[in-house]
Formats: sequence, C-alpha cells, structure tokens
Amino acid sequence: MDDHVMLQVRDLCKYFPVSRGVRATLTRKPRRYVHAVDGVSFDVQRAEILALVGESGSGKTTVGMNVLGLQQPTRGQILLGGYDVAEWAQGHGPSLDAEGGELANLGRRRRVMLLRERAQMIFQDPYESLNPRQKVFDIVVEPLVIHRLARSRQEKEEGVRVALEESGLAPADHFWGRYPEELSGGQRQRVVIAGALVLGPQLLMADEPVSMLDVSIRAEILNLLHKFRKERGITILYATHDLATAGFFTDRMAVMYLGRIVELGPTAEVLSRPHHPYTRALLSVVPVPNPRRRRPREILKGEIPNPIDLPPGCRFHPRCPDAIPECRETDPQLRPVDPQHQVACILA
Amino acid sequence: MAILDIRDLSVDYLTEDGVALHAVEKVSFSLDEGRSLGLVGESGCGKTTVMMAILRLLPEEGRIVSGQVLFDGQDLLQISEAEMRNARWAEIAMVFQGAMNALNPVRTIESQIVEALQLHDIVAQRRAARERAGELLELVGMPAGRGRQYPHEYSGGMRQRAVIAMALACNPRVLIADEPTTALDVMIQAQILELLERLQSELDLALVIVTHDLGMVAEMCDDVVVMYGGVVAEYASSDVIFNNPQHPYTQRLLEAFPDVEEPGSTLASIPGNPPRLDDLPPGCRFEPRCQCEWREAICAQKPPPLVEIEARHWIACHWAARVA
Amino acid sequence: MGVTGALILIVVVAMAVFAPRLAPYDPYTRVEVTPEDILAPPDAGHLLGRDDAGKDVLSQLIYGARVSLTVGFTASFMSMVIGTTVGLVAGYFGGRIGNVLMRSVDFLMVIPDLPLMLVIIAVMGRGLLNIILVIGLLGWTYTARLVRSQVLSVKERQFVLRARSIGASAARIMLHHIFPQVLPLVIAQAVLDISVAILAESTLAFLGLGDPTLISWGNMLNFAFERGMSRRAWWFLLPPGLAIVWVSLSLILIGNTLDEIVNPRLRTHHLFDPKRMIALVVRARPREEEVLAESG
Repeated sequence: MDDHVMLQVRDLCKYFPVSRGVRATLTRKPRRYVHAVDGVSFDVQRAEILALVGESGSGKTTVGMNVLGLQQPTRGQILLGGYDVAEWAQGHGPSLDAEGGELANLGRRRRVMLLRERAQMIFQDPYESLNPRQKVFDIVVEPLVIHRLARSRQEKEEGVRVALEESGLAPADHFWGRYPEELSGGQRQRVVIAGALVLGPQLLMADEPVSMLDVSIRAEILNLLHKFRKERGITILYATHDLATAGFFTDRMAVMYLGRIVELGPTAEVLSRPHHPYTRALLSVVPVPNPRRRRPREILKGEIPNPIDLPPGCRFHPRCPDAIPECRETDPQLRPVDPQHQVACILA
Repeated sequence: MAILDIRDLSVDYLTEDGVALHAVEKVSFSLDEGRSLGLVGESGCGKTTVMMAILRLLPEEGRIVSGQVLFDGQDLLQISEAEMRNARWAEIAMVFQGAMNALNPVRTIESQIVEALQLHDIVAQRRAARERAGELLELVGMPAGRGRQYPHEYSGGMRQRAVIAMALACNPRVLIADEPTTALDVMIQAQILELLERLQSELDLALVIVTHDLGMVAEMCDDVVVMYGGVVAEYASSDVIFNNPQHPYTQRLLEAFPDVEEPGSTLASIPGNPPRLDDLPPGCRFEPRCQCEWREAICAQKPPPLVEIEARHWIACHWAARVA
Repeated sequence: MGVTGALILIVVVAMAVFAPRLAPYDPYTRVEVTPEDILAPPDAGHLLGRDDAGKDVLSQLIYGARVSLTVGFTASFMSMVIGTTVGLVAGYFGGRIGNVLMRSVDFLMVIPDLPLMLVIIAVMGRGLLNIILVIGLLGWTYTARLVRSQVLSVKERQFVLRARSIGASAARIMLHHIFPQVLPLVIAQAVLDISVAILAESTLAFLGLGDPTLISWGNMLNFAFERGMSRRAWWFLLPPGLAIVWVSLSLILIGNTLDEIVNPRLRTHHLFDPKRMIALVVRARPREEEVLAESG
C-alpha cells in the first residue's frame, strides 16, 4: 500500500432508518432512510489538510464520524493507514492484519484502543464538548489513563503539561486546576485540542472547530492546527460551511451536497475556478470584507431538500441554475476535468 | 435627516453586591432615514446591550446612566413607559438574536403575527388582522397560506422570515436585526440578507444590523460602527472602515477576517481576551491587546474620546486623533 | 421552604440519634406497673401519658424515630442504587437490554405495592430487615424511569461523544460522565423516597406486620388503635401519627426544593459550586435571567 496515503474512503454510504409509526409498519410500507452519506470516495495524503465543505445535510460530519470508527458504514470501505476502520473499530481478528503487521498480536480491546490513538476528533462547540464537572487536568489526562499510557502522577503531569503547552495554554499548571466554565471559548477549544493531542494521533477530524469562536481568535486555533501538521505530520480533515476559512487553511477541498462530493480539487483552484454550479453559487454568496468588491450573488432558490426523499437524477438539479432536462435522468459521478480536479456534473 | 441619533449612551449593569459594571460607555452614532448601519463587534462588546437600551428592554439589573436616544428628534429615554410601549414596534422594531428559535411552538405563525397586530391596535378585527398577517408573510417571501402552520413545520430560514414579518407588522421606520443569520446555512443567509435589502428599499426602512460578521456588514451596510469592550472604537462609512481603517482594533480585525477571494493568505489573530467588565483597564479598553507601535503612556491612563478625525469618520484612539 | 424542611428533619434525626439521652425512660426495659398506669393520661412524670403496657409514650416516640428513619434512609438508599443502575444501563444501551429492563420496570410498577408487600411480609416473616428489603426492592422503579429518561438526553451531549472518541468504555462513560449529570436528580428523588419509605413502614406496622420487637411509630399506631381506643387514649394515638406527618412533610419540602433546583431545564453545574448551591437553596428558585445567562 502506498505509504503516502493516510486515508482512503471508497463508496462510503451511511443511511439512518427513519422511525415510522405503527400504521406504516403494519401496512408494510418500504422503510425510509436518511441518506446522510451516499457514495463518497476520496483519498487523503499523509500530512495533508482536506476541507469537507458543505451546508447542513451535506454529510460532512457523518463522514468524519465514520472515518473515526464512531459509526459503522452502511456500505463502503474506509482504510486508515491501510487498515479497514469498520472492522478495526469492532476489534475484529485476523482478517484485519493477515501479514502480521502491528495489529496482529493485539487483543481485541487493545486494537480498538489503537484506533482511538490514531484518529481523534475536535468538536464544534467548545461549550458542550467538555464535561463541565471535570477539571482541565482530568479532561486532558483521561485519554492517557484509559489507554494506560501514564501510570505515575509524574508521568501524568508530564503528559498533560506537554499537551496543554503545545496547545498554547502555558503555563500548564495555571490552567489545569480550572473548570471549563472558567475559560473562554478559545481556551476551551485549546483544551479539547490538548485532549486530542495527548494520544499522539496521526489523523485529526476537526468538525467546525472555529465557527463558534470570535473572529479574532479563529486564526490562532487554525494556526495551531497548521503547526501540528508541520511539526508532527498530522493529517487533518476540516469540516466546515465556511469557505473563507477553508480557503485559508486547507490544501484540498471537497464540496459536499446532500451526501455526495460534487467537486474535489486543490483548494486554491476550486475557489478560483469552480466548475460545479453549486460551488459557484456558494462562492458567490460568501460575503467579502470589502464594499468595493461587492460581486453579483447567485442566490439559489429554495432550501436543501431533505435527505430522505432525494430528487431523481442529479440531486442538485431542482435548484441548479444551469439545469437541463437531462439532469433529471442522470446521476453524475465525479469525473476529472483537470489533472487534480474532479467534478460531478454532466455539464462540466 | 437622522431618524435615530444616539448620543453618549452609557449603560451599567448592577451586580448582586451592588457594584456597577460599565458595560457600555459613551456610545454615539446616528442612522439616517432609509440607510443601513452595521454595528460590529465580537462577543461581549456590548452591541446587543446598546440595542436593548435603545428599546428600553434592558434586564432588571441594567441601568441607562446617561445619554440620549433621539428618535426623530425626541429623546426616547425621557418619555413614559406607556409612550415607549407605543413607540416600540410601531416605530422601532427588532428581530432579536435567536428569535427564530423562540417562536411559540403551540400557536400558528399567523396567530403570532395577529397578536402583534392586535396588541398595537393596528388592526382590531381578527379577520382583517389575519389578512394583514398573510400580506406580511408574502412580503417576506412566503406564501400567505403557510401562516396556518406551526413553527416546527418551518425550516430555519422560513422561521427567520416569519420573525421578520412579525417585526414589520406595525410598519416601523427602523428595523434592528441582531445576528439575523447565525445558525442558518450559507445560502439561506444570502437569501435573508437579500430579503432585508429588498425590504429596506421597498418600505424605506432604516436598518441596523448587529453582527460579528464583517463580510455581512461590507455587503449590506452604508455605515459601520465598530465596538470593542463596550465603547465605540471607530465609526465611519463602510468604504472608509474597510479601506482606510485607522483604529488598531479595526485594522487587526480586518486582518483576522479570511477573504475567500484570497485563499491561503496569512490570517492575523489578536492574542488575549476582551476586557472583563469587573476589571476594566483605566485607559483605553483595547490597550492591553494593542500592538500598535505608537502606543504611549497615555493609552493606559486615559480612555480616548470619540473624535471626528475627518468628515464623518470618528475614532477613539489617542494616536489616531493626534495623527489626523 | 426547603430550609424549613431541613430544620425539621435535623431535629428529628437528632432526636433519633440522641434518643437514650433525651428519653426520660427506656421503653425497652420492663416496668412495674399498677392498673392505674395503664393508658394513663399525661401528667408531670409522663408528658405524653402511658401506653397499654404502662410505658411512657414520649420515650417510645423518641425511640420510634430510630426505626422509622433507619427504614426510611436504608430502603431509599437501596431504591436509589438499584433504580440508578437499571436506569443507567437501560438508558445508555437502549435496544434489547433497555427494552427488557424497562418492561420489567413497567411490570413492577403495575402491581399494587401494598398488597404485594403484605403478601411478602406475611410469607417471609416480620423482621426489620425484611421490611427494609421489601420496601427497597419495590420502590426503585420510579427512580429507574427518571434516570433512564435523563440518561437518554445526556448521552446525546457532545462531551459524551468526545468520551467515546478518546476510547472510554461504556462503563466509564456511564459512571464518569453520565452519572454525575444524573446524580442531582436522583438525590432529589431519593429524599422524596425516604418519605415514601417511612410511610410504607408505618403502614405495614399499623396493619400488624411490623417488627414486634421494635418500637416504631407504626407499631405505636397499631397498638394505640387496637388497644388504646378503649380509654380514648388520644395521647397514645396522636403523637406517632403527628410524628409521621411531620417527618414526611419535612422530607417533601426538602425534596420539592431540590427538585426545583435540579429541574433538567437548568444546567446542573450549579450544584457543584457550594456557594451557588446554598444561595439557590435559600432563594429556592433561581432567577430566569441567571438561567438564560448561564445557558447563553
């Protein structure tokens, strides 16, 4: 397997059954599903930062949850460092590692633990993602305790100190006795980052990590993640609806709509020459901080349809300004329009 | 021609121990008829407090300690509560932050609009009120028939439209929108902003947008007030604020705002935190975080007054005032 | 309100603890009595008169607190432990385990408590331990329901997801992350449960199924009813009845106050700041703005 590829996602599908009433069960109506993710494929290189850009219902968070093994895919495969994540998260046996690699001789629990050490998540809401009853120290030390990576008081303090200071909360002992509610949003987010960092992950899934923070603090957090990429070679998945921060922060960008990737390519290119009508429209409505550069806005009509009853053919066609009759018939797949740039649109 | 003129407005919050926190100090700006003003600032800068003070809707522990709120020449702070109640909604209406989530879940949208109409005696009879409610919904881009549905049957964008319709029920002359698009999808945000623009021109509304989103302000507003830590840092036309900012905070804030047309450029941040109200610096409130090379002793000693350094460009900064 | 309740309870607990010092006579020792002493009305030496065996009613009242409170606290604690465990497991795992557990809860809740208790005691025998067991083992169902519904909402919170993502086991998540959020609710319920348990014990004793070797308020009521009525000995009947009422009342006051504080509508982190906790208890109802500000 190519050593440079950290993550491979192939045809990932995740459907959630819609709970139905007694009448529907009795009349044997066909089950309905929320098609949160419906056929997503992409690769991420080691130490690359990929943006998963989309509005609500696009599936970006669900992709992250499945990549981390926190959910099981309905279909499709996710390979992290060459290992199948779905099986890994269940701790399944020899099929996972026939060649006797590092997973071969581990017990089931230890295998699952290893997955957690490899891939970590950073959450959107710094006010909700920390247990309000735990002090900062306990929050950051907990992963070490669970994974038995630190036994003595000294080892624990050392581990926590390094993680906190690397995340910009120095001196560590100034912070570790505090409760989350005593910290600002930016500081809390740093605690979350420290808690993720302490296990030495190779992949970080950052789900809207700065959207709830003040503008003047966002750059700090994003710069911090950049630093980790540079110094530790961490691969980062950055899920967001904010094209502007994605533009600043990421190497490649995947634009998602209703569970599919509609455009995928180097960030600078996707932003400067978008091919998919959705990307184009999205880009045109992002406000630019300069009144002299007010551009014509392509505001799509209507709202994102619900992911239960998908439109036929191209799922974007009902709102697409360029739609032609054929769009109702065909469901476009991602095709390359440039060497690195793929688009899912029959008109591209 | 200023329909709303705020002069030296100061608001305190009283804590349980009786200590007065100076949440807002000497805020001044004005809004002309038919124009739009953006009130920009980060969390804790006091922008919502200013708006609540204008409408005299501060919580129990809030006190307006000084200043004037001139609406069409009349000081709203001097009139009685009864007169204020008339003015509220009929002259100045507000779309509150998170209002779309605060709709009464057990009443139809239409009935909630009707309630506003009846409370203000705009339309007394139910039938006429319901018709008017339908008109208002169409005004904000929704089919009138949907008024008979409940909030949970609406999407986020639709709820925000409904709330705007309610605010417009009494034909106000000024509409204040506090964070009108947070929690909405990007495309819906654009729809709502487009709606506000259209309403502004169709109804000749004066619009105040309170937000932390500089981009929104650049798109929508003629004038901009930048607030920090409870005071006005800079106040000028949108063009001046974005292209020739003089206050160090405004400058840094703009550098921290990512520009989607220039991906990959560096993004600044402002280390530190906004001042705590119970621990305000004696001088300029931004001074502890100000990295301006021209910082002097006076910055930490005396709060800078808001001065007009050129035509229609006010700034509260010792250095900028001197240089001008 | 809650403070009043707390004060009453403290008095009663003190009474139970210091019974030997407070009671003028030891109701467990035999006394020489004359026929006039039987069901004697109150006088200087016996402030609440004497019972059908000539023993001092006041002393019995004081000692009786011990049994009632013991049963109350122990049975309630048992209910709390069982109910919380069942609720946690059913709520966190859901699915089949949750279903099985909750259907058992429903089953137990449907059966009328008192007749079942009567039957069990009649079969098992009348001992203090049996009484505690019977009350505790039937009283956990409400707590289980309460805990489960709270767990269902807590487990969706983002810090629980984070705990999963760092590799925490189910047990760890339940104990470490979810339980602390549920605890305040459980405590508020447990206090009310104590009152229920005391009433249950009194009822059982009144019906003649109490532990005959111990003095409890229920037993006193039983004897007073059966034997004291011949002389219209109100001093024998009234005190234990009133005592039960007072204690129940105090517990309900405390429990209701705690309930108001821990209403899931509010964030529960208030409770782990002792200063805020005390301030809230004294005021008995946090202000709307505080709640909004905290959640804002």
